[in-house]
Amino acid sequence: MFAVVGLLLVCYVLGDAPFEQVRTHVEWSRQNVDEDQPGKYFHESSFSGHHDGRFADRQLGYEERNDHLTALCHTYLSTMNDLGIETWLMHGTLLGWYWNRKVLPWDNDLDVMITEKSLYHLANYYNMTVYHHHLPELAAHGRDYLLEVNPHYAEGGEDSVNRIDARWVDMDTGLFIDVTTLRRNRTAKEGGEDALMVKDLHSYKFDDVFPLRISVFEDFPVRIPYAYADLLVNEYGENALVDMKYGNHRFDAERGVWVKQEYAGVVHPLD
Amino acid sequence: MQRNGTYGLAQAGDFDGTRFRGLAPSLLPGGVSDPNGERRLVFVGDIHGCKGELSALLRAVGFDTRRDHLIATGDVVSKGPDSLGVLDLLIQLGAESVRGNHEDRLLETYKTLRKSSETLPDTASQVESAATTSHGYHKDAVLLRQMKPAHLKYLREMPLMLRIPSLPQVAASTSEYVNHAVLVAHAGIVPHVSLERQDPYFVMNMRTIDRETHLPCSQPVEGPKDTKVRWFILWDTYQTRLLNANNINVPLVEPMVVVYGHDSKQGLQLHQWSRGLDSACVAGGRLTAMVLDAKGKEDMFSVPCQEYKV
Repeated sequence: MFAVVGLLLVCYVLGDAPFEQVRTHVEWSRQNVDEDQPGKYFHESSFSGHHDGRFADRQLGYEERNDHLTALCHTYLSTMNDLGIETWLMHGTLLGWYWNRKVLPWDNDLDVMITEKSLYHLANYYNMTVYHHHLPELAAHGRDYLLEVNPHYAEGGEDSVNRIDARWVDMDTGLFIDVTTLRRNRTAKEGGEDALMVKDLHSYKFDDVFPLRISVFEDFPVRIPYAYADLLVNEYGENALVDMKYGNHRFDAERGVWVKQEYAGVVHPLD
Repeated sequence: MQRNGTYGLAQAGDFDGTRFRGLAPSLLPGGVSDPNGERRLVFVGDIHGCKGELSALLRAVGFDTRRDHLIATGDVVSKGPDSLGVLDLLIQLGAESVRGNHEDRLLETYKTLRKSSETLPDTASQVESAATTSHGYHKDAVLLRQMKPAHLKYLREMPLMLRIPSLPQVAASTSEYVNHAVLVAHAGIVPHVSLERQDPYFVMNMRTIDRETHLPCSQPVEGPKDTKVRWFILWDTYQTRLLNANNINVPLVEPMVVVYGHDSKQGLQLHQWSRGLDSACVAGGRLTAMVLDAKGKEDMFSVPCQEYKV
């Protein structure tokens, strides 16, 4: 009984795993706990919403970020594949896949989903496990990645504060992948019997997501929702699949890559 | 016309299979092996497992395997009463079909079922339950379990698009006859985007297309203010323009007639550069065939269908 109460206190008061237990190279945790809503499990760093402050003390710059994100993606996909977890790309990461099978250069994070069954499998057997990956081009001695599952994972209802069910965290740079779960919609009748939902109440039709397609992302095998084009248009609007400009980036159709434009009074001939 | 018509630059989806197939030269009406111009091509719209209706339609066109070649526009299975019977008949007749969205879903589901039973052992039993999946997924899983390797092989070999060159014995001046190349695809094609860069998802699912961006959409036109038009309207405009350009210059791209299915709500759609053959057979409409002879002459045949699905 005591043990249960203690565990609950840890979950509700402290949130993600205590710094002392998981620390790597930074001297103190930069997690921004105070401004988060009470009960929120995963926190982000005070210097960036895309870094875990337990593992980093600074934000990665634009130029260096992409290599670390790619490694984050590779290690996540290969580990989930080894563990038999059904996972697929969503949101901005799916949009990057649609354009050129790569992370969008202006993206700070990666978005993936897993099935409920896979989430329970991770929670039951792999929570708080650390995976060492050899990354000869990025880290001479390899790099550790932490798989952390949100203890609220079994609560199926609406909970936008704890909509992130698990995190895949780079223990060197603090970059992470948020893992959300697509759940059977047990509460609301709306959307029909085939409706699936995420904890933040985003809902999807089963047949738009499944059967998952097999494709390639950042040169790794990956799964993609069945009706990828419809999902992307619903989420980002038609122009997301059409516009070759986004912010200060332009899609170079010949090379098939998004290129950052340096605006110094130079007008591109196609503008 | 295009404010930002850059659709087609993104890499878009993959196609696990044959993207294009050309009609075998021996099957071309008026081709090298048909000097007397006796051969015919018989195109048929979405069959959806309606085997009885398909047989009746073949009788109506006087189908003879020595002379005729059957080409289906996809969605030959699902919804109707006898998907396996239709596949058996198509195999027996040496018929071809392009891949429809229903075949695509079946093939992707097959890959999932095979894979998941390897990695998560207890998924195979659960996957067939409609309670944990969806009504459609459950039906597909059941149908897949009934299929023999020959059925799956036939589905897998369906190309995304089937190309038929212009018929050699058609006089170029006979404008009322089909005197251009024909492309068969299940749902539609985006004009101005090369066939190599068409997104397979849309080739098998599109109904409409945005006037300005040319982004296709699987939904129908929603009201008069919608910026979308039915895809074949835009296709027709473009092909006419290509033809006119050909009159003054060496053609860069040949205009083509697209034969398709998929859109049963629009029903039979016959336009200068497109033939929509899905006349809602499985919902109690008709099953339609377009017969093309060596002179480029088209004849339409159709038979009534039982109502299997509303």
